[in-house]
Amino acid sequence: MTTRGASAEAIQHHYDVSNDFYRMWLDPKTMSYTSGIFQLDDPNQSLSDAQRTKVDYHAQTARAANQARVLDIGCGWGNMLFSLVRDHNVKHATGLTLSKAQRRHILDAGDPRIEVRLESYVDHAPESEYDAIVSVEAIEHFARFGLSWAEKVDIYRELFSKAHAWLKPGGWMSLQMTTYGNSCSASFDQFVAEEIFREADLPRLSEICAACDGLFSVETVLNGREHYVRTLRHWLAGLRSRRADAIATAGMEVYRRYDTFLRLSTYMFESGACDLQRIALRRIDTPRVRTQTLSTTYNAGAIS
Amino acid sequence: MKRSQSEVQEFIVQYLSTKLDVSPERLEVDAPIMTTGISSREAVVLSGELEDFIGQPVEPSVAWEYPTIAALSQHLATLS
Repeated sequence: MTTRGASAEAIQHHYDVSNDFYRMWLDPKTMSYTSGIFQLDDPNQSLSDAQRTKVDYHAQTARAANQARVLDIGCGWGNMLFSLVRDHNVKHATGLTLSKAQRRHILDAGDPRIEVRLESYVDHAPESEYDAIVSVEAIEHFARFGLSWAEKVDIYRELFSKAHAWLKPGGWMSLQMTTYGNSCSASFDQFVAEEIFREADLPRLSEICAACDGLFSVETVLNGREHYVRTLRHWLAGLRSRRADAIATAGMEVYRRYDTFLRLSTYMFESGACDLQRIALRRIDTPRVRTQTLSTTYNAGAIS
Repeated sequence: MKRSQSEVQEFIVQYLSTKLDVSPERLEVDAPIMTTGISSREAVVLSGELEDFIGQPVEPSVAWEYPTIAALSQHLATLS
């Protein structure tokens, strides 16, 4: 059994509930199922506005504007792809997803500048290099539950090695991810792992930093868990306000599952059990740290 | 809808006694909810049930912010 990545079946379990169900409580304009970036001192800011700020932030951080080719790993319903080509003058944006429903949603827009592939990053083999890469809350799906620190670093290192090979010299990568904060996998109810995000485990910030060590320089790390609390409150209020419709569309069991998930997530970000990291990485064009050296540095027995 | 503190309290006691499989009389209203043996998930689910019961938004972390059955029922009666 591979330890790498959630399977297509697991991703489809979560994301293929139905586009209509998600549209009821996500921001319907963007269908963005990741944390927005809020102006935290403005209690009235809309979710749409925060989602737009998020997309612009990653486009700017990855230096994507006016570029020829940009990759979005884990593209969701395509919010980032649409914004890249429409608002940031990107000539060609490629998205990877394992969800058929998400791919269909993006294809329905019929934008020739957007390519969406039903493909894992593991199998992705682009014909030419990318100018920038973004990945927003996808890496949470890449390692299975129950792996050691070193095993997870190996999986994330494979991702960064690939991204390094795909990116042009001096290229940037902008990441957003939920990480363990003041918690570990044992702190969480099995509900989250088994019922919602099948076969997935959150990264730790230390795993990400170790995994990209020598391949990318870490330029900025911003923890914004308060932004996720705000986002989740919007989603929960939206789900509750459309309760009857949501149950009619997806059934009572799914409604309850998501209600509980959104509530638990709010609590986890509020309490600091989870963090929301935005990480800007710049490609190191002449790596001097080899994987071999890295394994010795991070002796699997030393940190587990 | 308007719920009195005693109505809310009865609802919480009923929820906890079912989850914990203990008789309602064994639950002390002034003891911390999180030491009864309820899981974090069940406490969060309770916040959703309470939201339905009083018809007003209830924070997922409410059982930590108002840590006893008495304090929680008093708070929610004010909200409703």
